[in-house]
Amino acid sequence: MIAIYLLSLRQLQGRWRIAALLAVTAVPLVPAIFAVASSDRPTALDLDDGLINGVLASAVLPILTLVAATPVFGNELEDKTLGNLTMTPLKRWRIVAPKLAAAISVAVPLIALSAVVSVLVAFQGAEIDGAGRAAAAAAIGLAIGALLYGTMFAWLGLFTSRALGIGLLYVFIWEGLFGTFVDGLKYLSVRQYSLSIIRQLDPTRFDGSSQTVIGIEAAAVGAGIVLVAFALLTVRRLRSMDVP
Amino acid sequence: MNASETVKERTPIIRVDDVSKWFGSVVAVSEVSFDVYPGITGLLGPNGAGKTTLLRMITGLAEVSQGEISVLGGHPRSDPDLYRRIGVMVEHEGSYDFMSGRRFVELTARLHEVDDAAAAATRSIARVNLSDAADRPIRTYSRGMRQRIRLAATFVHEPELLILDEPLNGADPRQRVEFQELLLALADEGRTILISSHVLEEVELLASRVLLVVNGKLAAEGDFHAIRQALDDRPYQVRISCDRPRALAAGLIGLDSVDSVQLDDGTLIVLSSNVGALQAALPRSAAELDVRLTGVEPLDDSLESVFSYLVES
Repeated sequence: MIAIYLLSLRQLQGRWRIAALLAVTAVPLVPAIFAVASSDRPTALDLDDGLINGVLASAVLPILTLVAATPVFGNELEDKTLGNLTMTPLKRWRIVAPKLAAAISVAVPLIALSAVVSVLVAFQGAEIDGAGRAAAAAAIGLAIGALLYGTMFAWLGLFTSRALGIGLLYVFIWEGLFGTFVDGLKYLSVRQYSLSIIRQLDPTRFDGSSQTVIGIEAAAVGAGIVLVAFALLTVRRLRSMDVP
Repeated sequence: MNASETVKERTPIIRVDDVSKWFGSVVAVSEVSFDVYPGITGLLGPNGAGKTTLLRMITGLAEVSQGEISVLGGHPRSDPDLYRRIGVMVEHEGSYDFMSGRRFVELTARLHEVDDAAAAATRSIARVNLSDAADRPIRTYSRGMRQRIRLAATFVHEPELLILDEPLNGADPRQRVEFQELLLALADEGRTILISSHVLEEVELLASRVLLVVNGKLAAEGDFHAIRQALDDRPYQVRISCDRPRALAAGLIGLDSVDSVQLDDGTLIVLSSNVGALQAALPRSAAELDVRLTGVEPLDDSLESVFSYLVES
C-alpha cells in the first residue's frame, strides 16, 4: 500500500495544483491581518464568526480539500493509469485507503497551517488571551473536517469527471446555504461538525454564540457516518465501475 | 480424433458466453461467444469492431451488459486475486511518464505482490531488450519503447494468461519481429496468450487460432483455414496455369462449381463457390480437353483477404 500512497502523492505534485493549494492556504491571513489592523479591535466572537466560520470553515477547508482530494482518482481516470492499480490482486480497499491517505496528508497539514497562522495572527494582534489554544482547537477541528471532506471528494473524483465543479457547487449551495440557514440540515454539514469540535476544544473563545452549532455528540456521530459511508462508497465504486 | 474434438475436450482458459455490451443505445458487442485455449489466439477486426471492448470485459475493466465471462475459472472483476495469474496490456493504458521504466515495472511487480520485485523487473526488462534504457524516464521513450516497457510490466509477475490489446502498435519492423519472437517464446513456456490486432499478417504469423470480430459480432473463429471453409457463401479465387487456357476456360465455364472464369495473362482466374467440387472436376475436365495443368493456386487464402471479405460483407 505504501507504493500506491507514494505514487498518489507524486501525482498530486502538479505545479498549478501546488500553487493553488498554497494560495488557498494563505487566504485566511488576509482577513486576519485586516482585522488586527482595523481601528476597532475584533472580539473573540468577531473572529469566531468572521475568520473561523466565515473564511476557514466555509471556504478554505472545503476548497483546499477539494483541490487535494478529487485528483487522487480523477487524475488516474483522466490519464488512464487507474487500470494499472485495479488490474492487480489487491483488495479494492487496499487501493482506496492509501489514496485517501495521500489526499488527507496533503490537505490536513495545509488546513492546520492555515488555521494556526491566521488564528495566532488575529488573536494575538487583537490581544485576546489563549491564542495558542484557539489556534490548536481550530487546527484540530478543521483537520477533522479535511479528513471528512477528503473522503467525500475522493469518492466524487472517482464518480464524475466534473468533480471540481460539482464539489464547488456542493460547498457553496449545500454547506454555504442549506447547512447554514436550514436548521435540520446542519446535522448533515461537515462544516458544522468541524465548528462543533472547535467549540468543544476551546469553549472559552469559541462559545458558539454567533450562530447555532450542533452538539459534539451529533457531530461525532455525523462525522463517523460520513467517513465510513464515503470510504465504503469509494470501494464499492471502484469495484463496480468501468475503468477507462 | 480430429483437432477440433481435441480442442473441445480441453478446459477453456477463457470462456465468453453470449456476451453483449452496450453504451446507452449503442451496441458495442453483440451476443458474442467463444472459448480461448492454451497457445496464442488472435482477436482480429478492424478499428471499432469491438475488440477492445471485448478485452476490457474479459480483463475486468468493464462490466458486461449481458452474458457471462469466465477467466481461469472465475472472473477478476469479482475475484481480483486472479490477477496474479493474468497479465494485461490494454491499448490506450497510460504509463507514469515521470517514472523510469525500471521503476514502473518494479511498481507493477510490487502491486502484484511479487517476492523480489526488483529482480523480477530486471529479468522482465531484459526479455524485452530494454535494459540499457531502463533507468531513463518513460517520457523520453519512443512509442515502441513504451510498448516494450509495458509488455515487460505485463509479464513481470509470470502470469499464465496474457491478454494483449494491439501490443505491436508503434513498434518498428525490427521491434515487431522481436515482439513476435518473445510472444512465441512466452507461449512455448505454456502460457495462454490472447492478442488483438488489426494488422493481420502479425497475427497470422503468431496465432494458432483466430477470432474475427466485425461490427461487434463474432464473424468467425477457429483455425484460419477452418474459418475460410466456414465462409462457404464466399467464392474462392483460384489461379490455374495450363498449356491451353482458352480451351480449359471454355470447358470450365459450364461446370456447376464454377461461377466465372477470367483469362489473365495466360492463366485462368476461376471464381468458385464450391471449391471442393472444383477440385474434383478440374482434373477430369483437363483430361477430357487434353489440357496439361501446370499449376493450381488459391489466390485469397491469406488472412487479409478473409478479413476484407468479412468487413465488406
